[in-house]
Amino acid sequence: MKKSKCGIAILLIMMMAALSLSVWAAPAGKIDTQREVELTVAVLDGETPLVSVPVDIYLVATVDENITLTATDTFAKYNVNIQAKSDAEWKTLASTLEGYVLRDKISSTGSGKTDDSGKLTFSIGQAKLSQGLYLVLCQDHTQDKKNYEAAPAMVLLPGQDATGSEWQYEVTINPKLTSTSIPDQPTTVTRKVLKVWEDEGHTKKRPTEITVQLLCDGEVYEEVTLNQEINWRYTWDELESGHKWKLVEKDQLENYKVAVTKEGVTFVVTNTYKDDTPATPGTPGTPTSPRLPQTGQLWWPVPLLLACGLLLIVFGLVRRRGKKNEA
Amino acid sequence: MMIGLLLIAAALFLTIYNFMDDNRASRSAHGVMDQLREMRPEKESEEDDAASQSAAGEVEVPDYVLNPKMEMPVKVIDGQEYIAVLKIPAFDLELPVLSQWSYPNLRIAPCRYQGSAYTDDLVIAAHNYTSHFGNLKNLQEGDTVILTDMDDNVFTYKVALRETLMPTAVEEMSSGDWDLTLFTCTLGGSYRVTVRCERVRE
Repeated sequence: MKKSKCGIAILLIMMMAALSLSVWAAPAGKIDTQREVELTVAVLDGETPLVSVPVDIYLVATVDENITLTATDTFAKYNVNIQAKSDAEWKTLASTLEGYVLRDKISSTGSGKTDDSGKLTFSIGQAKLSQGLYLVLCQDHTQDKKNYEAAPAMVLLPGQDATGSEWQYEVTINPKLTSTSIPDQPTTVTRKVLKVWEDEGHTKKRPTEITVQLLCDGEVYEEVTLNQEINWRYTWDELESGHKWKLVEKDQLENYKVAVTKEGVTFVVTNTYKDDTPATPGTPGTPTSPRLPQTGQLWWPVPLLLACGLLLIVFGLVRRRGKKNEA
Repeated sequence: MMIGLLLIAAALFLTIYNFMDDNRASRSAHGVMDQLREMRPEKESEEDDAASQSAAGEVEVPDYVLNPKMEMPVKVIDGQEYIAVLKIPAFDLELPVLSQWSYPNLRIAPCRYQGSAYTDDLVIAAHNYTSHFGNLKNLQEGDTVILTDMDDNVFTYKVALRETLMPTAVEEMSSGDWDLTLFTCTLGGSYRVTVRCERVRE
């Protein structure tokens, strides 16, 4: 009983420590939680504004004055890491959440379309935005015979200025765009999925298989089970182009956080073990045998046998001659 | 004298056995290579292509680049798992590489002793049959060694060092940060001829 109380106390301390982790280093000091925030999404291809692009934003986590993030009820059920520490991790978080938003048809916190200058500002003429961490999704857009795909983005309101010394309560972001020419004829695309396990020392807790869902324009197109036998990967060939293909891990795995990124045509699904306890050493890669394998044919006795044989024959001949001479 | 003749006969018998065994090993490795060739079309280019472009203009990054820790994919032939094909142009040698080493496996083809081409620490062991690694001692610095995995990713190496290790040098074999290591027994069987290679990156 005493042991279990002690365990609970340790768990609580660990949870409090985890909760108090800040998402950004905060040289800018505390956030003024009373101030209103404003977000402008500027969708521009160089100097060219992209007009009437539908944009949705989703409140993923609230933030307090100490910059502590708390996932909203909608997003708390996903085993993702909202405490990203680098731009790459923020991009990964945005990409992962986009899949769940599309699959689960999550309602947006705000939506609108870009104006003639390619911009859309939230909070003007709409309900006020709360401070927090937002996912920004721009729908695919066609303009000037080009297809545009904007990368999903995470944005914290308020945000820090370039030097990180002050909080900015009016934030503008420029989603990263990828443009492709519209093909004359319908083409096909390939999509691959590759599972990565980041769980060294805990591989015994790894499930033997997981299921991923390929989404076509937000609808489940196909479910595939991945396991060691197929090297934790799968390829879809000849998918129709012109659709938004996304991938999500179907179930939330116990003990693992999930992150989905897209590299070229491949969706990389990384599951990272959540436990902070030190990893037990994995299976050593070096064979335990004290000797290297014996990789030789049995050649060494050949000269030995020949030499001994010849010696004995010579010896025999000498003895026989000696006996003859004696006779 | 009788014993002497018997010993010479034994030497002859052993020699014939060794040649026959070498011949058998050659046939077994070639048989696997034939089946592997049937299973996959010959690649036109042997370039180390880190990324290729699909018809739709999208970049296809090899899986091992995205996850170097992944297991090397295998192809199964006669119940045995093969991870790669090893080519040594200097000897006009092309051999399959088994996923795991064991003494019965070494009689069929070279085997992975440990490591992976994806993490640049692959060590391959083979018997010193002439048709396997018997000529390893004659490889020269700068000679090319090419490894093609079962996804058709091509890894090109140059021989950087040739050394002889003791049979107990287990740690030394895997140390030294070499991208690829090949080893076999010396003719006497007492030492290991070891060839260290560095990967050539385009």
